[in-house]
Formats: sequence, C-alpha cells, structure tokens
Amino acid sequence: MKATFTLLCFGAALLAIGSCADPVHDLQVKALGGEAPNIPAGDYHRAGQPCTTCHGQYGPATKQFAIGGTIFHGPDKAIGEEGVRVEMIDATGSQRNATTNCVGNFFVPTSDWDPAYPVLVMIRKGAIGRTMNSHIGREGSCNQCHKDPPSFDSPGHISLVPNEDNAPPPQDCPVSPVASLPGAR
Amino acid sequence: MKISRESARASEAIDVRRVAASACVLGFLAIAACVSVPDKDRQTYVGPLANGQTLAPDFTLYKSGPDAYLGKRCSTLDCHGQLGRGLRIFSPQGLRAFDASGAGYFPLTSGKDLESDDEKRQNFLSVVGLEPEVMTQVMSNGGADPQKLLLLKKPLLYEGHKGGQVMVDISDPGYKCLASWLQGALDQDACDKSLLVR
Ligand code: HEC
Ligand code: HEC
Ligand code: HEM
Repeated sequence: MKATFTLLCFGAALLAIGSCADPVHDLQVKALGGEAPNIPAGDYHRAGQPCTTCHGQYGPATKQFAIGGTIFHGPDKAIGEEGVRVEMIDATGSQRNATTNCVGNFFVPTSDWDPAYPVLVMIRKGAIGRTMNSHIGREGSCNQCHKDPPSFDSPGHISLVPNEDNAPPPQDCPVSPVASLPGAR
Repeated sequence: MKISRESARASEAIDVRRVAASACVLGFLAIAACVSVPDKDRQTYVGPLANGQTLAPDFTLYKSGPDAYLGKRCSTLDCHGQLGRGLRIFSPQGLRAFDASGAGYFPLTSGKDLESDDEKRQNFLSVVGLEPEVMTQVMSNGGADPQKLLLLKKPLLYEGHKGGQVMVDISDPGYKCLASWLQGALDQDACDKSLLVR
C-alpha cells in the first residue's frame, strides 16, 4: 500500500518535471499572446506568427507542421494574400507546394513532409513570382525570420508584390484578412 | 590500575590525533609544493612576429572568397546569423552588423543592403577569434591540419553539429576554399564553386 503510494508520488513528480522541461519554449509560446477575438484556433488564426513555435514537437497545438507561414499582399500593410502557391524544395530534391488561404496562411504537416534542410522557396500567383535568394537552414516558420518591421535581423513580412499598391483586402473571408502585426507599417 | 590504563588509552588517543594532524599539514605542504611558481620569463606573445608578419590568416584573401562562402552557406538567420552564436556571421541575406559610428545603430537591413567592409572585418574577427589557441597552432604550421579547427570539424560533422553536415568531405569546394585560405594560397576556383553548392 505504502509502496504503491510512494511510486505514485514519484511518477507524479516525474510528470510534473517533464511537463515544464523547456522553460524557453514555454516563454516563446506565452510571448505570442492569446487568440485574437473572433478568430477561432484553426486555419485562419495567428497570421504573421511563427506557426511551428506551437505546431512543433513541444506543442501546445496537437497538429505538427514541417513548414508554415503567412504571405501578405504588399510590404507595408499586413493584408493576407489568397491563392499564393508556395513552392518548396529540399536538399534531396523532394518538393511540396502549398496554397495560402484568405488571411495568407499556409502549412505543410509533418505527416506529409520531413524535409532535409536546407530548403529553397519561391512564391507564385498568376504572373507574379518571387524567389527567396538564400535558403532556410533549419527553421520551419517563415514568420520567425520574416518579422515586422524590416530590420537588421529580419527582411520584414513576406509579400507578393514588392511595392505597396493599396489593393483592397480579399472579400468573403470568414475572418478579417487584415492582420494586426506589431511593427507593421 | 584502572586509572592508569585509562590514562594510557587517553594518551594513545592524543597520539592518533597528533599523527593525523601532522599528516594533514604534510599533505598540504606536499600539494603546495606541486603548485608551480610563476615564471616571470614565460609569456604569451600577441602581435606581429620579429619579421613583421603575424600568425593570423590573411584578411585580404578572406574577403575575396571565404567570407562569401560562409555568408552563403552558414549565415542564415536560423543558423550563424545570430548574435548568440560563437561563430557569428553577418551577411546581406542574414544578420546585419551593429555600427555605433553610423547614422543609426543598425543602418543596414536584412535582405537589402550590400555587405559592408566593416561586416567582413567583423566576420573575420569572429572566425579567427573562435579558438585563438588552436588557430595559432594551425597557423604556426603554415595552415597544415586545418581539421583541428571547429570551423571545419563542425561542418564536416567530425564533431556533433546542430547545423548537420554542410561539407561532404575534404574534397568539398567550401572545405578547399577555407583550407587554402589558411594555407595562404587561396584556391579561388574552389571558392567560386563553393557558392554554387546549395
Ligand atoms: C501560440 C500558439 C500557436 C501559433 C503561433 C499558431 N497556432 Fe495554430 N493552433 C494552436 C492551437 C493551440 C490550436 C488548437 C488545436 C490543436 O490542438 O491543434 C491550433 C489549431 C490550428 C489549426 C487546426 C488544427 C487541426 O487540428 O485541425 C490550424 C490549421 C492551425 N492552427 C494553423 C496555424 C497556422 C497556419 C499558424 C501560423 C500562421 C498557426 N496555426 C500558429 C496554436 C498556435
Ligand atoms: C532563416 C530565415 C528565413 C526563413 C525561415 C524564411 N525566410 Fe524568406 N527570406 C529571408 C531573408 C533574409 C530574405 C531576404 C534575402 C533573400 O532573398 O534571400 C528572404 C526573402 C524571401 C523572399 C523574397 C522577397 C523579395 O524581396 O523578393 C520570399 C518570397 C520569401 N523569403 C519567402 C519565404 C517563405 C515562403 C518562407 C517559408 C516557407 C520563408 N521565406 C522563410 C529569410 C528567411
Ligand atoms: C560551412 C558552414 C558552417 C560552418 C563553418 C559552421 C561552423 C560551426 C562552428 C565552428 C560551431 C561552433 C561555434 C558556435 O556555436 O557558433 C557551430 C555550431 C553550430 N552551428 Fe554551424 N556551421 C556551419 C553551418 C551551419 C548551418 C547551415 C546551421 C543551421 C542549419 C548551423 C547551426 C549551428 C548551431 C545551431 C550550432 C550550435 C550547436 C552546435 O555546436 O552544434 N551551422 N557551427
């Protein structure tokens, strides 16, 4: 009886230690804040945020992404661009394409792809194509590097057109396609 | 009788304590004797050799090959383009340098401006200063055995590397570019080819 109790306590302690094994990761998740009002956790949420911080092996989201991110229309405003094809190719030549939804979000689940880095990317919609000259070394979130504003450690958010042309936001989006990104112009 | 036996035991006990104490003191003395006396004639020499040369690898050669290779292959923002990395590489497609003399502290933008001369100099210092003693050893042998350096051990995966195997083996153009630079005779062809490797 006593032994069982001790074992139980021991197990509980181990679990407790295990659950807070990575305080750095916990802080990174916390720093991203709660869900925006009126946008449920799902395909349209957290546009512009580093998806794999949460959709990675340490959670808190259950669905894991190999790569995920957001494509906006222009470089200044954070308006999602729908229907952009994101083309990715890894070091072994393995390729995946994904298409953005109306807030600009896209992702490739780990169940579908385990890329061998480095990975090259390009984005395409209609006649417009933009290539990232450098490669991705090991980061699954485009938005981890592509933060606002453009600075010494970030090229700014990803945009389909190189210059802001004040195009209207996509219609018929279930949530607002305009992201509130800290630092966006 | 009983008293004298007890006092004998007491004096034995004292003896044991004395012996232990002296052993302790002797031990400390022995340890102290092993500590070497500072040698005032022994010093680490930093600076140019008598003939005016230095043991540092050449900066001019560095700028014409190795810097571009490291910038292309190692310096993305998720790898060595981070301020916390021991080997920290600035590059136009990654992290930009701090510049206290300029108009702003960080005058350059990632993905936009060309690489400044100051960034190349700071990269050089990071590479050379990563393991100063091993670098000096390698350089005093004319750049022979560059695999002693983490700079090559890590990307060759001779040692665990979070960035994985970046160079296939020592026939890799990137390896040849860096090794030939340390040997003072830059293999420009290898450096150019190293930029084509993804
Ligand atoms: C701060 C943490 C966090 C970030 C950042 C985040 N998510 Fe999520 N996401 C969650 C959580 C929690 C859920 C709840 C469902 C779950 O457990 O998977 C979720 C759910 C989802 C779902 C539904 C999953 C399913 O099971 O069907 C999708 C799709 C999704 N997120 C996409 C994204 C994309 C794309 C990004 C980046 C633009 C992103 N998320 C960024 C935490 C996050
Ligand atoms: C490791 C950091 C990093 C990650 C991760 C990253 N990027 Fe980039 N990206 C950059 C940098 C730096 C530039 C600017 C220099 C260049 O083009 O290489 C850039 C440029 C681009 C460009 C070209 C923009 C222009 O000005 O023409 C596109 C498009 C792009 N990235 C898309 C993506 C997509 C899509 C993802 C995710 C699949 C992604 N990036 C992930 C760092 C990153
Ligand atoms: C030829 C290119 C490269 C060279 C010469 C190189 C060299 C080195 C050296 C010398 C170290 C030890 C010093 C330090 O921690 O900074 C190191 C560590 C590290 N490198 Fe690289 N690297 C290269 C490419 C990469 C790439 C592409 C990535 C990311 C995908 C990467 C990620 C890391 C990380 C995360 C560490 C710290 C952990 C560790 O030591 O393994 N490196 N590398």
